[in-house]
Amino acid sequence: MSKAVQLDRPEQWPVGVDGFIQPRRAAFWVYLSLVAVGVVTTVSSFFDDYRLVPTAVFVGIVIWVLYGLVFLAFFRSLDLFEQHPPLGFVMAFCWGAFAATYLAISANQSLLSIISKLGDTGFADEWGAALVGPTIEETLKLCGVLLLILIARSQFRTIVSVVVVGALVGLGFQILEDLSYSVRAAVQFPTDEQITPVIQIFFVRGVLSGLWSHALYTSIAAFGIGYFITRTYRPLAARITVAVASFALAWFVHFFWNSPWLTDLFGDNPLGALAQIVLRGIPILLIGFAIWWLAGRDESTHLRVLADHYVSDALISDDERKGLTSLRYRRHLRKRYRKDHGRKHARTYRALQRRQLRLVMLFGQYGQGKQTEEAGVAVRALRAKLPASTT
Amino acid sequence: MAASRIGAREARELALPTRKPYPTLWSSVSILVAILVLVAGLHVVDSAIPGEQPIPAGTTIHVGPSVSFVPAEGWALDKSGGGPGSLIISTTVIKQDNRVAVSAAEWQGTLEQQVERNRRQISVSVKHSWQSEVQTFITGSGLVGSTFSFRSAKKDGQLWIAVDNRRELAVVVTASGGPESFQAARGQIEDMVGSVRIGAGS
Repeated sequence: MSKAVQLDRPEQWPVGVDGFIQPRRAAFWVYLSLVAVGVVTTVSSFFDDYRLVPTAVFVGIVIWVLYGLVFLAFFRSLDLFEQHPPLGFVMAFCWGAFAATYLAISANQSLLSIISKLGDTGFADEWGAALVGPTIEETLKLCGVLLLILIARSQFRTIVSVVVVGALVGLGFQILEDLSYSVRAAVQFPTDEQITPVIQIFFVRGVLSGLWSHALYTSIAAFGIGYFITRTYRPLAARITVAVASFALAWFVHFFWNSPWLTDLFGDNPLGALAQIVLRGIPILLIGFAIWWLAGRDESTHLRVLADHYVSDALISDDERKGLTSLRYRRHLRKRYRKDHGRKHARTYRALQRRQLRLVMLFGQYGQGKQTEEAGVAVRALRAKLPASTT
Repeated sequence: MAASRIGAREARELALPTRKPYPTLWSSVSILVAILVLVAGLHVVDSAIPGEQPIPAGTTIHVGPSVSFVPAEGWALDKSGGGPGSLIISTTVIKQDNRVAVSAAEWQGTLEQQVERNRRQISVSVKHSWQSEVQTFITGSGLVGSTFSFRSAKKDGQLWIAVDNRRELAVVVTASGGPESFQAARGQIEDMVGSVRIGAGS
């Protein structure tokens, strides 16, 4: 490993990253107070709903929590949770679920009311959601991303580290919004049945529309913030342009989804509705995929440089080094491993891949030191449990 | 594995973060102000824009395809609070601090079940409220249903509920206002309830 290059850093400050508990920073208290008020308001609101439709509230919470876990499992399968400590993700989720949602309820109502008053009859019904949703909700969700960056700036070293926090903020918003839609559907359902409306909303908002929803919108907007804070060597105007363009793109995909466009294209029947959902959703998904691909490419370069500079072949082999920069290749290595050595060893190999990733990220945060030594020991321990052919 | 020389890009990636203190006060305050502008600012703007649309005397207002009513003289249409996403179609008219909302929604249950639902909703939405016994009402046009009144420290109100089983439709008139003004407007409110028609066509 080379130590020929003296990296440029001020020696007076300790190397490393901050945690997300930062009582000395104003951003922490702004975050905490808004989330705390949101928790109280949200719990109180659902308690009122519980008095009206207790079964719907209970079933809704169970279903949407399970749904959220599926998303989290998906994020974990992409190794995104290696980006920050768990508290960072919890805080991101809580901002989306509690602060952004309760703030959006009031602001949405006000803006919708203004549009109703100023617009022609029926305009608010037709375009209200398309104009209000993205304007209020994207802004409030992004405020959470900005606050988290202010709380622990050094945690955010790559675009992916910001984008994944955006996704978690969006997911929190999405889950709470879906839950409240489920409960409202039960309150307004044409019979006293409480489970059917929850299932209906789950199917429409969760199964059919869940992929191209808030988690994706906010990750698109967060991409620009990630670019802005990591590309400090680029001209300020370029960084601002990317940040504004990303927000505009997130606004537009949210607008597109909420707009009445394509509504009449397939007629008023279930198959037509399904076709309309897919036709709206696919372009949004493609845009989101492109954003994540760009962020992933940036992450790959970061990991490759760190691994090449710091990590010995004994800890990460050439093949595994390649896998670090490509999710597909990482998956290919696991498949190959399962084929050669069986499922049990493949699970251990999966754990090894995560440890290796964590090790590389720790090098990026602390350089050579106690943390990376411990992480290296953990990698060696896992390697020792595997058949020798893997190295 | 190791590179003996590194370029500018690599140097940037390898630059280690430091736990250097940095100020967040002004940035945090800016975010807080942006949120306040969005939430409180929009509320102030909304309050400043009049949302009352005068209604010419004798105008029939349609609430969805099957329900209509005639607002009393001096009442105005409330244009605020519109928007999509609700299964209930509703129109509200206002005069001073009195509001009368006429809503129509699909309903496959009985009148008693609808009344029970509305009583629960009032007990949740109007805090610390008292509710009267349910009574039967019949209007001059033949609309039959149930009614009950409610009262809280700041608000008096009454609901008239009718169910059309053939159309699977529930019509709910919710009137409320300050205790004194509500009693003063009661005559006009009852006239409006009397004007409600189901199956009037749009």
